[in-house]
Amino acid sequence: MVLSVLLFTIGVIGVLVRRNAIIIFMCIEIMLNAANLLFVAFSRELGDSSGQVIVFFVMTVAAAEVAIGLAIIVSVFKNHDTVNVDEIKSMKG
Amino acid sequence: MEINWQLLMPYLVIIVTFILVLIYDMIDSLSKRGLAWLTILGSLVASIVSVNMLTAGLVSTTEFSGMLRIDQYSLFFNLIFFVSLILVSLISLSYLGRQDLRQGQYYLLMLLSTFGMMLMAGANDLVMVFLGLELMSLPLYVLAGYFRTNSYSSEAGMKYLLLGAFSSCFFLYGIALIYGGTGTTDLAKIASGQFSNNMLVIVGMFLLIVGFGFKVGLVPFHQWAPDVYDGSPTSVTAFIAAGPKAAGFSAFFRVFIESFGSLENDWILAITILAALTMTVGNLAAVAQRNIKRMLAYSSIAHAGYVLVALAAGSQNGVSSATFYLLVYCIMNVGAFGAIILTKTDDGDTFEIADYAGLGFQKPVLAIFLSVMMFSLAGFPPTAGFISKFYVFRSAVESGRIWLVVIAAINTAISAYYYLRVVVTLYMKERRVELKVLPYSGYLVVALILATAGVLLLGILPSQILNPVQEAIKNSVMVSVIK
Repeated sequence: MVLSVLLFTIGVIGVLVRRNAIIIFMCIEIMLNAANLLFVAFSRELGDSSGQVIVFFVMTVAAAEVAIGLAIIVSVFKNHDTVNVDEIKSMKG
Repeated sequence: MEINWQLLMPYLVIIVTFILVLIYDMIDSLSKRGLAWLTILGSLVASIVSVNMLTAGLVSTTEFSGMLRIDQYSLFFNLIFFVSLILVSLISLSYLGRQDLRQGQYYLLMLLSTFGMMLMAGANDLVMVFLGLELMSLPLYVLAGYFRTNSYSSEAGMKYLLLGAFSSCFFLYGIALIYGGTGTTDLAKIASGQFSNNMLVIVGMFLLIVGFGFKVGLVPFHQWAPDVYDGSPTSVTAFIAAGPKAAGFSAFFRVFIESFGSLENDWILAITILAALTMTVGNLAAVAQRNIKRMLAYSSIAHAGYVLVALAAGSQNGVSSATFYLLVYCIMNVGAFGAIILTKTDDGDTFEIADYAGLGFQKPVLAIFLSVMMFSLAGFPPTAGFISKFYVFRSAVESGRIWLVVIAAINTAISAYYYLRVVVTLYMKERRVELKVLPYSGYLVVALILATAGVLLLGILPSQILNPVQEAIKNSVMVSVIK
């Protein structure tokens, strides 16, 4: 559980501090996996297997998210020639 | 395990439509317009099925080992999703027709996203809420970035994706903590337990508020909304503004009113503050906008604040007035985006409010549609915007949230300023630039007439819909809040 909280915090800080879209995306994946770890830990503690089943669902969702996310980042790179989120700001207000 | 297929009909219809659209898209010789008609037909059939089930007096049932709950509450929300899907498809018919040819994926993604929303409204388990949320959001990320070669659109897609995925992580972590604290993710089981001093559950609950807050665009989790609304293709913006917000709130209400009703003292203050913040920031920011799409984005943030007032009321009346509000909100928002789709200057789509000067005489019909939507968004009688706001505020007063209602009323006054500014610009300003207005497309006009008729009918005869809604909520949402 401590490890999970640690991982989650690393993920959140990473998203907030790093400026590269792909690294931000990796940090989001770290956060998802932190949640997975927590599910498994609780599942073991409670002696209840449903937590482990949930993890499989989350993994599927994460995979779908990665596929879509990377595709969108590629299309952004094609249009902007950068994946730095600070430089991609054509809209203001 | 026995599965009652009849109860799952609305879901099945949407999935079958999805498959039909998929097959239809593969046959090259068929006209691409048929895709939209298939989508509209499918959602019409699904609405009719839902209405039938509603009028037949359906009893709340759970399916798939308690994962999915089919009751009047979820059916009514499904209707909201279908209505906005139909309207958006009609708008898209004219919008996409002149933009590009890859339309198959567009309707597929909208159907898939709608299915996700239905799962959210019918979820009876936190994991199901999460899956519905993701199934709704993933197609939306793609739709926001649908014009791949357009730098605004792909930027909108990326912003939506990063912030959306970030917020779903908080949501998931919240579910994990609640699972640890209660030993279950079943909403009904959580509701029956007593967890008032359980830190895990309380922290998890606040993480859920963050997750929902991102999805429905509450201040301070709203930063994605203006950019995404501005950059996405306009028909997609209409879709994002309508259904997903209603879906987010449907699950929000169910989780908080039902499952965490016993923890009311812990969340009601947070929700009240969020509601006040959301309304105020949303409206003040909207006043400063010069681009109509960004203005509507901030206005939709403000509207999320009004709906939250109903949640803060924490009563059955609150839920039913919010449900009605969301229906009205979806119709008028899609209508407003539909009305601005037609205007165009030489350098592409235009959305500067100042450019609309004098349009009232150049294109009277279009201007009337836009004005009706603006009056309704501002909440003037006899439009539905007025009556739905009235019910929301009344439910909050009944629950003794007088101050919140005062803030909401002040905000309504502020919002009248920027909505009416559009109307004033339409009719009372000299024409500044030559605005090219695309020829009316029949489909768009049909969508606008439907939306206008809906807004006016619901405004004049609200009880036709409101009474069934109240009945439905009474039958299906159990409120454990102790007053």
